[in-house]
Amino acid sequence: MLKIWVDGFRDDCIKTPGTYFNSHKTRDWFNREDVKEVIKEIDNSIAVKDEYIESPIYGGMSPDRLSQGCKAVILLYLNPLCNVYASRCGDNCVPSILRLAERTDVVITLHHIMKFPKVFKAFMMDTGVVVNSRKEFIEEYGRIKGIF
Amino acid sequence: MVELKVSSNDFDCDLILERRVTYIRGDSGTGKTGVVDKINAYTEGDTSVSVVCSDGRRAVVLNTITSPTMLDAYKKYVVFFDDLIVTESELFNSTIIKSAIENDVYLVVINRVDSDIKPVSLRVNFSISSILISHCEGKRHWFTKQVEDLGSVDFGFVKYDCVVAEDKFGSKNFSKSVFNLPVFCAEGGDNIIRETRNAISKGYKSIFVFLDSAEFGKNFHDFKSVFEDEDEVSIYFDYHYECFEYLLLVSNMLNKEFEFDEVECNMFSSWEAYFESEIERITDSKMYAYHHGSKVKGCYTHDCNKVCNTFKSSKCDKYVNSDKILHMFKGTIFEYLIGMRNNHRKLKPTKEDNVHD
Repeated sequence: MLKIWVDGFRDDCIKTPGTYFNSHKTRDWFNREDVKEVIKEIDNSIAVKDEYIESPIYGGMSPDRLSQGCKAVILLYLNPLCNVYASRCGDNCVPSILRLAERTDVVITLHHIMKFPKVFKAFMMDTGVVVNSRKEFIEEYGRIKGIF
Repeated sequence: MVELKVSSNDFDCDLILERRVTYIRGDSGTGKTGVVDKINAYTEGDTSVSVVCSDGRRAVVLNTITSPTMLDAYKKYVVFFDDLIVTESELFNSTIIKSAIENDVYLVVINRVDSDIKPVSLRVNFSISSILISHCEGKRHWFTKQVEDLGSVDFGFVKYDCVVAEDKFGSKNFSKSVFNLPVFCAEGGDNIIRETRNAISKGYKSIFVFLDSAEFGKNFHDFKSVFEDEDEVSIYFDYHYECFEYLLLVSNMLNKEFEFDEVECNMFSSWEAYFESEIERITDSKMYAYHHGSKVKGCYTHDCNKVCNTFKSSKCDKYVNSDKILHMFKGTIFEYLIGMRNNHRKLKPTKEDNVHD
């Protein structure tokens, strides 16, 4: 289940996933099939072996050059409860986040309305409300943030 | 306007900065941080990277904001902030904009999140036209204005069933006087979403929203997200509508006296502030004097013969003996207002209109 914090930052939130990723990464991360799939899906790059990644733009590169969103999602795959600041993720990161959430609890913080699919399920951590659609998510998000 | 070209063997992009503050958004992996990396490399002396500004200014990436006065060290720069929490916080507020203006700095913020600090007056104002979406194909990177990705329609041919007006006076007064439609007044951009939802909850399904695009940038993502799935409701807005004052300035009533000065307008905290200043300057001491925050004179909404007697009319350099709305907007970018008025015509003024000043 996807669990979303919307209001403020919890102490455990990884607010700068890019920096955290760069300083914590280990080579075995990139040999995992699920991480390879994330890198391909979000950054259209191939994790060849260890920290060698092939990019259609940069050629051979290190994981430091992956996008902020890709790094944030990789952190979730390594630790789904790490409460990453997912406002660093573009809408193209949604499929990989939801795929992970189908098999385990995933905790993120969001300070913007991410474009989830019309039907999806999430638990709003600030209020304890379960949302079953994008519309419900927006309603609850708006209520928590005082937009409505 | 500043054009920034960033290029190297593996990267190529042009960035057009029309206004003092630009926000860059888009999917992950489309090169937003790539621009920043190239500028950093250039700054550190990498000769394989070229960073060229059309007016010769330099570009720099800042990793934090310690105080608004830090921009003093970057006079005439283009300053980038890449995914910084600080641009969502109280430190990134209207005082930064004042400092940016004083130092002629153009700010580029890469962030999906708008600051929601309070009070509202402290927030950074930016235009919805200043939100750029990044794209990439191989080495080539480009940016499109988010508003240009929206659909377009001839507003004059649509049948609306209500109007949502941002202003307490301007667009509200205008709408109530000109259209035979219910008008919901938001009294500020931050309430537009609430009032539009209010209109929908009351059963209205074809809604024209007068939102001040010059400063609506900080609300635009939420506005778009909230309403893009409303299948049974159609919401229309014109992003060329910078603000009510701009509407009047480009009308045939005032456009001969108004000459848009791009350099001067970027010396204001937003283009809206510039247009407010210009219309007050142009109409100062005139019978049709306009003041932001005051009720709109009948001169701008009703035929002259309904507003002034013969004596007053003879003294006015803007007197026209014809349909005022037609006269004001024919041939302008807001010509559709004529069609809107014709489709939703008020047959006679009501007591509420109070046309006589």
